[in-house]
Amino acid sequence: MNPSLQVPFPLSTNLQDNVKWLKQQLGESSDMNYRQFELGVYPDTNGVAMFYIEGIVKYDIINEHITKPLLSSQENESYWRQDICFHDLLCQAITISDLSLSFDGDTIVSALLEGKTILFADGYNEALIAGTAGWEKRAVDEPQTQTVVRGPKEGFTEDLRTNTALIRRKIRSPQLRFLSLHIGRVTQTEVVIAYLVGITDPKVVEEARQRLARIDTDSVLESGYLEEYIEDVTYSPFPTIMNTERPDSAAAGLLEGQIAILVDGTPFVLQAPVTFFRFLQSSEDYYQRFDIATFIRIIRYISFFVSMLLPALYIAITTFHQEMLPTTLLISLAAQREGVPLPALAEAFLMEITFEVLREAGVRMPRVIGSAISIVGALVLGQASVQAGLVSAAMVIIVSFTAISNFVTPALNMAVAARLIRFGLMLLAGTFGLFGILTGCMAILIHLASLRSFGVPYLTPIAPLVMTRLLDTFIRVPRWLAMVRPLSKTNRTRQKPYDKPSPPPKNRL
Amino acid sequence: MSPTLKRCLLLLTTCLLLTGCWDRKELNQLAITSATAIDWDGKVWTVSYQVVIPQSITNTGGNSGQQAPVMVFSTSGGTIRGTVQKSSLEMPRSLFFAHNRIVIIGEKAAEHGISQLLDVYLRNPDSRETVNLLVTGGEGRKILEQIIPLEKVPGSAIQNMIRNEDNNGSNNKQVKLYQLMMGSSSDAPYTLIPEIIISGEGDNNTIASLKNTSFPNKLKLGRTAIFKKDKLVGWFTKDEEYGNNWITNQIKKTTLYFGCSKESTEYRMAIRFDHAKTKLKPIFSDHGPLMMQVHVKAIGNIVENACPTDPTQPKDIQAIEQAAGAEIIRIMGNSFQAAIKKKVDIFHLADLIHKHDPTRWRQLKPDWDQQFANLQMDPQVDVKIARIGMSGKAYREIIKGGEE
Repeated sequence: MNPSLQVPFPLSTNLQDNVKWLKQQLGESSDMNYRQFELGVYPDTNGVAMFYIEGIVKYDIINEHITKPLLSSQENESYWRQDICFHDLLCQAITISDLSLSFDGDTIVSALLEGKTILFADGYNEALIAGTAGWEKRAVDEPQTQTVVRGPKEGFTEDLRTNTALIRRKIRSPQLRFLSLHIGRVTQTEVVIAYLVGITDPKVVEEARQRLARIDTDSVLESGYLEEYIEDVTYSPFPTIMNTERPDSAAAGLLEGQIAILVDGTPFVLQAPVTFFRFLQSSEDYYQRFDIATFIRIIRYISFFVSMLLPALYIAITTFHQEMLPTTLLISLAAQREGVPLPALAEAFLMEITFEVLREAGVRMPRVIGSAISIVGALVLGQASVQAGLVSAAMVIIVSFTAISNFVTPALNMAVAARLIRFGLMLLAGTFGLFGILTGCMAILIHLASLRSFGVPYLTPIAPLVMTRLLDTFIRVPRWLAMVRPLSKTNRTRQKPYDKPSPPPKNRL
Repeated sequence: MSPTLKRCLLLLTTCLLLTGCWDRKELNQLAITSATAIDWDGKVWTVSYQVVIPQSITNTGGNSGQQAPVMVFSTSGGTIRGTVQKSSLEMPRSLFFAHNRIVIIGEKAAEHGISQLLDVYLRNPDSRETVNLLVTGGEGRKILEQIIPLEKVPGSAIQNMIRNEDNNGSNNKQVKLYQLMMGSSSDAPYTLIPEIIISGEGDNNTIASLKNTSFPNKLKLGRTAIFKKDKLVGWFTKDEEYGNNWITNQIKKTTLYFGCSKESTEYRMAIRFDHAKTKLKPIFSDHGPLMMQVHVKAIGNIVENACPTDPTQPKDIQAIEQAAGAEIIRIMGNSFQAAIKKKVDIFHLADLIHKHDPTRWRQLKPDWDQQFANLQMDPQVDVKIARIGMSGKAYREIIKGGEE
């Protein structure tokens, strides 16, 4: 609802009044274009007024299908018979398929803001709304965040329609439905819930719709805004809603029984409900051969835990449990620590924070001076700092390996969660050693087990244990074995059981 | 934020403020001890420590090779732990014993009895019962001062030496502290502990001597000490212990050399055994002495042959197997006789009887020493040759054939 319009504005039959009203609505904003046509040969008609907003319309459509017919009609008198009515003008002159009439001021204004063209005609208290929306879009290109070696290289763009089309192109089924809402009192952002009828749990769709409808905010500029409003648990480092830039990932999610929430103006599409393990899986797992994918997936799981625990383990073992190290390693670690002024905990914190700063700098830096970061980074996180006697070489290795492990996690929000938790665990390790780490891990596990994502327990299929789904959690079974849809309650079967491929019988070859 | 959660968070935060208390120890506050030695002079214990100097061992330190890899110092006192405590008077760091590999017991201390040391090890969490025990003829400290080429840390070098011997030669067995505890608390309270000696002249305790290719002296495994309960009561020679290892099923891998026939002691053939199993069985009879049946099964490969026998022939193989078996019997016999003479039941036969036949053990126990003195051994040895190696006849024989 536009706040300036409390009462629906009834249009007047006087053209000039309507023009004045509409101009006033947008406060004479400089990007609004207005043109008046003298129509016909009748002196009592003032003609037609046309409004559109520059930059969000397709000019050639306006020129070709609105302006041209209207102007040519001035010569063509047969257009303007005495008994002409506005509707006929609609039907005959303007050759645009998306045409509608409206008496309602509100509708007119929002249509104008969507890029449609508004036509008023003198003597009629209704407006013609012609669909002429169109603007500069970024082309569909490779997603920046979730890159794959093998798999589709197209990514979502900032344009909502392009995005729905990308999903529609993947799933050509009448079951695929898009449910549209407008959120944001000021921005009036279009938000679309995509789901598959008969596969997605209708309760989840309804829940998502209600949660979105509840939002009463002035702006939605990115899907992250919505994520914070609709997630189940707010006080948690772990994300309970996934986002993706990849249409194939969104489509796969839909086919598994997830919903996708598309927001106009961002290439990041939200997916829910989601489990913890989904964040550590990449769409590429399903494009590579299953044995390779399984191996890489296991590596990924290990890396995630390494990126969370490695510095903490290093601190705990070198300050509390030196007896756990092999003697030679202990001696070389001790030799490195000779002359390092800081305790291991402070040293680890220093290095970790240095790394975080470097990472952030790498993201924020203008591309032009990007090469500087690698040079400086190699200095502060490398041999130079070791030789300067600030840190031990082992610590540099630990921090670097932790960093690398962290980049393995496909979902950025999950990777950040691991990085955040890492600091807490480091503190615990520096205080209580392995005992502290264990306590921390227990706390994290308890927390994870308590989370829900749109009602789905976060640690499914481990807790609660679902055997059929375990097939696609740590390992990836071949496609012909993956028969069950993970998140669907209504339609769980994907395919015929055990449709294992086999070579044809000999006599056929 | 529920009040419970708040309370928990408050608790956690206060816990985190404790950092620096509890038992946190940075690596550069530790003196890593790689070996200890313990001596007794009639009144006080002297404990010597071999402390690793990390910078001089790793290549990261700028002065590696300039400095000795370890330092040795001693403290004395009435109790062992008290003595260790005194180390803080002269050390900038606290001693860290978790990586202590060996404990060397000086002869006097061994004769005095080391039960006090065992108690220290049992009682404290930071001392490991898996350290290797070694006895030395003189003072323990002398051994710690020796520098060993090849290995940077002498303590672990000594441990590797005894471990290597145990696994590949089986002449000496490595004895860990807990094994001494088990041995000394059993019915036959005898344990064999290897001796370490400095063979050759003088000391080898400067890093400068590492610049030479050979040394006038070196650390070496010597005889075998017999401990009764926690006291040293005598010595065995190396060969006697070797026989004992055959009797008590302690051979892992060993190379046995023997003569060409059963009776010959002119050693010209060698077998490398990699599987050997011995079963001991007491045989009781109402009117004869107690018998100890020793049944050895060993499988090995021929690694050397200078005998006229031709290993490619099955009957010759049998002869070789019998010759090897006879040699094992001879070795075991010598060892058995030595044990009987010294009246030490190092075979732990008493435990065996106690375990399998408690009622009979109760009858035997009062005059066990008498029984043991009259003990007889009934050895049976099955040697099996698995492989004869990559040639058949002895090379010597092949050359001879050429002469004919």
